[in-house]
Amino acid sequence: MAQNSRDVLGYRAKVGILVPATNTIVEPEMAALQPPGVTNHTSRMSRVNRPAHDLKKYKAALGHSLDMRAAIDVLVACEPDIIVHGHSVDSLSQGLSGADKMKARMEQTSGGIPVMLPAHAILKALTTLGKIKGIAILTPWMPPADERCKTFFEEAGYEVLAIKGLQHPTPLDIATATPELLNATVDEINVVGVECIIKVGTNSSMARLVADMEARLGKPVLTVNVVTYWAGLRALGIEDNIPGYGTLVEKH
Amino acid sequence: MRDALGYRAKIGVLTPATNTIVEPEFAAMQVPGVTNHVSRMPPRKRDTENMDAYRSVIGDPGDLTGCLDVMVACEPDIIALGHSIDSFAGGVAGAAAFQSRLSGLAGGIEVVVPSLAILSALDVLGQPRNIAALTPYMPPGDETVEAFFADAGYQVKSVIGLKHKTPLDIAAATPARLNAAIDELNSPDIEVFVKAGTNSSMAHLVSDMEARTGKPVISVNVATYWHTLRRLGFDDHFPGFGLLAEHY
Repeated sequence: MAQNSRDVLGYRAKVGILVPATNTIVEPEMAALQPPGVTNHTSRMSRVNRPAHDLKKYKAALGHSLDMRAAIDVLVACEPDIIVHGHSVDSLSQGLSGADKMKARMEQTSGGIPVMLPAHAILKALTTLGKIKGIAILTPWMPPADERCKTFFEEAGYEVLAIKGLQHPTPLDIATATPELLNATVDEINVVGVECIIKVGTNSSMARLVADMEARLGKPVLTVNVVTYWAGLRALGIEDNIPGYGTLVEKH
Repeated sequence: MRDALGYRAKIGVLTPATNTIVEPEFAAMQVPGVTNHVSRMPPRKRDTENMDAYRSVIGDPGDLTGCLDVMVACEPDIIALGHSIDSFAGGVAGAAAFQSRLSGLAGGIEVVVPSLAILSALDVLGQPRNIAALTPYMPPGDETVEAFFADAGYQVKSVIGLKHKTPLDIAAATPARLNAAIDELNSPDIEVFVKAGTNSSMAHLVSDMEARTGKPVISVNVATYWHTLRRLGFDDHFPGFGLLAEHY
């Protein structure tokens, strides 16, 4: 058999996915988004080293709260075409140049396999949606991470009109966030002037709620796992529109 | 509070670093409220040019401490091993010992290994005596599989090993090739087909193969996932992956 045969399931592309050891939401959400001929391949990074009960340590860990070298090593073994980062706080807490540097560092470890970070994916989504200025942000984080996240989007030229951190005490607790909680919070941050709502933090499950939220609010809602996966596909030249997860993937 | 998506159960899945088939096949079999959480085992060199070297690593998956550590962090209810060759080594007792060793490394979380999952599948199918085996392996791998089933009281009437050179080559095995191998294995005395090797994709072909041959076809990833759900106490039947998952 020829050695250059394509993978029988991932014959269009293999998408590598990095998730924190504790994360349970990225995999099922991104699995549901797979277009035909595209397969996802997950690798687990270290446990999150960002204690919510100690805000000094929490703040110090922002930007490098996980060890990902070993996870990238075992991931590149299956030869993914791109690596999608299923963790958002680190790429959103060091400004624009910090996100660029993080991407470059990861691509060095991956041996040149491109990496899509949530920070870059969200900026691409905002540009794609058109002229947006006023945004509102929902996070699962503690205040130090929210502040950094706000700064990131301000540096990128957006006006953050509202931001709400749900202050979950642990990563596993983030994964228990209910549709009721997420819907109520999105409604709360939908203040006057908001043109787009952004949910960051990859371990709360909001992908299935986006379409209803957009119908209710009449504006686009970007949820990080959908956005990062979408940007990963588009970077590979895969233009499939996927229904059920909001305007971005359905129309752009 | 329960996980928003995996509110019935979270299944940890171990796959080889090079494996690209277990994750999408298992994802396609997920039932509502159950989610899969993959961790990759360290790369394992399997020398397909040197049969002594190839044979010497069968049964030894290497150091799994690290991949289990990052797996148990998400608190799975059970762990399914998405890698089969090592679980056939040493007969039924070897498989049971392997299973409890993995469970020990995982802090006591139950582990399902493919070889024993296939035995459970054969049990519910009425313990057909004569089986035919399809593998992606080199001859020492096939011998290990044959010895395992012989030890369990089954007779392996015929075996085809596809002798793939690399794990990535295994994942390139086409439906045409797998269908042809099953047809070649089929003879009047064969009662059931067993496909080992988790990195060739056969889950979606099983129903058609069963319709064509009129015999049950046990594909390893389907059997492992099915047995994992049953161990969790879930009786969900899922369609499209053959008799086993649809009726038992």
